[in-house]
Amino acid sequence: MKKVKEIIEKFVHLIQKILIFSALFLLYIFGFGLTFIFAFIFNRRLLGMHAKDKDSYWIETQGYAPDMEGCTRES
Amino acid sequence: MNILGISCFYHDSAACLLQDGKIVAAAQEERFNRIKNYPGFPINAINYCLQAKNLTIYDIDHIGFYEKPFLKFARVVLSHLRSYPFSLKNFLRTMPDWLENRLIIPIYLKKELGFEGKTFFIKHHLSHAASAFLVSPFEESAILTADGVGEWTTMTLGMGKDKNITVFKEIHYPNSLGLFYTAVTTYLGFKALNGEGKVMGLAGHGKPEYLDKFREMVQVKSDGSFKLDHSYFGFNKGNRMYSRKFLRIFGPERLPETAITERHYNIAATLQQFTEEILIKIARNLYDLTGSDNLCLSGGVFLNCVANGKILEKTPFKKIFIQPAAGDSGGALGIASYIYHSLFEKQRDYIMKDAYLGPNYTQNYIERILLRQSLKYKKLEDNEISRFMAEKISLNNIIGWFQGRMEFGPRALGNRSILANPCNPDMKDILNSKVKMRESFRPYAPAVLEDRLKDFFVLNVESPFMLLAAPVREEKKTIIPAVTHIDGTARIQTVNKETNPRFWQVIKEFENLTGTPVLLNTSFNLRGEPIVCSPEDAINCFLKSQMDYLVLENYVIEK
Repeated sequence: MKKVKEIIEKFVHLIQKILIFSALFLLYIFGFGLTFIFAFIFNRRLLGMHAKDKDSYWIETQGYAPDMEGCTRES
Repeated sequence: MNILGISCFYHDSAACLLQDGKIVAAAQEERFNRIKNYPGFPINAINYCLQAKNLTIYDIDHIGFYEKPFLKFARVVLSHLRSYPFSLKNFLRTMPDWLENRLIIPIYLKKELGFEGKTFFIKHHLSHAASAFLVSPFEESAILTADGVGEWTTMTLGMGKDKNITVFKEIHYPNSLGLFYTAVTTYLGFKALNGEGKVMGLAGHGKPEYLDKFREMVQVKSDGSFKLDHSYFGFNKGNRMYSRKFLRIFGPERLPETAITERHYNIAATLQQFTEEILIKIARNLYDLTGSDNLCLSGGVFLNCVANGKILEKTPFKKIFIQPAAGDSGGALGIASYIYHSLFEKQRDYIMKDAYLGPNYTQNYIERILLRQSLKYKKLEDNEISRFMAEKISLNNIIGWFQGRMEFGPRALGNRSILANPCNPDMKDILNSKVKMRESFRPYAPAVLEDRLKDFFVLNVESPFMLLAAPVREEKKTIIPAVTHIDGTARIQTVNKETNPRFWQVIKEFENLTGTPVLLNTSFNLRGEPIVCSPEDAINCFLKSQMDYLVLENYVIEK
């Protein structure tokens, strides 16, 4: 009985993995694909294209001040 | 106040316990589960930290996580979009982990630990900065961090004063010195996040003949900031971090474990010199911005001890502090320290003088293990052990030395070390063939008595964490040939009598016998394995190798 349960569990995990993989695959191909096309047409900067040369690549910083509430957020 | 810091889900996961401002326990997960660079949740390291101080999770006031997961996820998603459709493989490989674990940290902590308190998150490079500055001996200091990438940031310039850290400039992905170094590392046939140290050793054998080509790939400004030409690289495209354009310039990539040619040596030498040039430029810029004589370095790039030594030598900074777990494992320490000092505004009283923060084992425990494994041993008194070891080492025996608390960070610093005679010019080959099976181009490192440092090396500051490389004095090269690299330098550990009295005593006894206050100190592990943690690990490693003696505290086992 225990072995049957183990086999069923493994089977369920396998199905889960296949479903997640398939969903991610479709998301990538269609979701990312369409977004890429739109960005390519309307907003190439989003794709990191045509980045200009600068005098300095240092960026002024944000979000480093000690902030108790800010530090409980994951973003 | 008990604060648990955690770093995980990328590489080298770790946990750190800070108790009323003092780091009381810290360890990397790989040491417990024996999987090198383990990235997963550090449950064993966490359990160790709690047990070290007889705590349960309910005694923990706060948990800190070393980065901002949602910000990092945004960068990952955008990176996949920008690399479309070549990032499909990476996307399918990494997304499940994000969805199951990395985006639900508080829920994950509740599920795995039963923790329901407040979890803090700070930016990845702030964890790095805090991990160095807040445990340094400096009241104020310039801070430079550099690694592959955190959320978006790959490098920061900042300043620490008292308990506060100000970060004023940063460079963003995909411009990353760390990833650039890693890309060339993989091109040279070594593993990412593991082989960079080998490339650093390889560099000593070559000449920097490709600087012009590197300067085409990386635009460096007068202030040290840089931009990578991504037509040469592919950080998120398929299996390779470099493009066909890169291969056209430098020739075919080297396959792992195949022969290393002069071309490879020279590319490594160029990479090392080029990286040093950028870092020195940036550090000089940082000195001008801050005016501080002190410098704290953190982030995986600063495990490059050769570059660290050059920064000390070629910039106006007088004092340097690099925390031993300078890579991502140190993020656990950084977030814990930051919560206590910067968020709760508690005074800094603690200075990190040693890296001995991991587990130790009692003599009774060791004896039980030896009896259980039916190993023949003898027990020596404290005053006999160091003399015994020194004598055996002087006779060219190789000793696995296990004592005290395990080191935190990638270096073995005398508590989980293999020790050998640095005066024997053949010792490198002997160690490689009998124990370490390392590539022949890789040097071994010296541990020297702190007060004898300047007699042997051209270095004016202590190097307790083996994170500074410096030239060996000309007249000493023939005395310690086994730890002198082909370019005349060594990656030095200075040993202080108060910090590690037993290790100091062994070196002292060796000096009494031979006149040389230096030992060859390499990590207690076999190739591809993490450094040993427990007596069982040490015994396994000893039995699998051809080490001559194993010394576990006061117990001596002979082959």
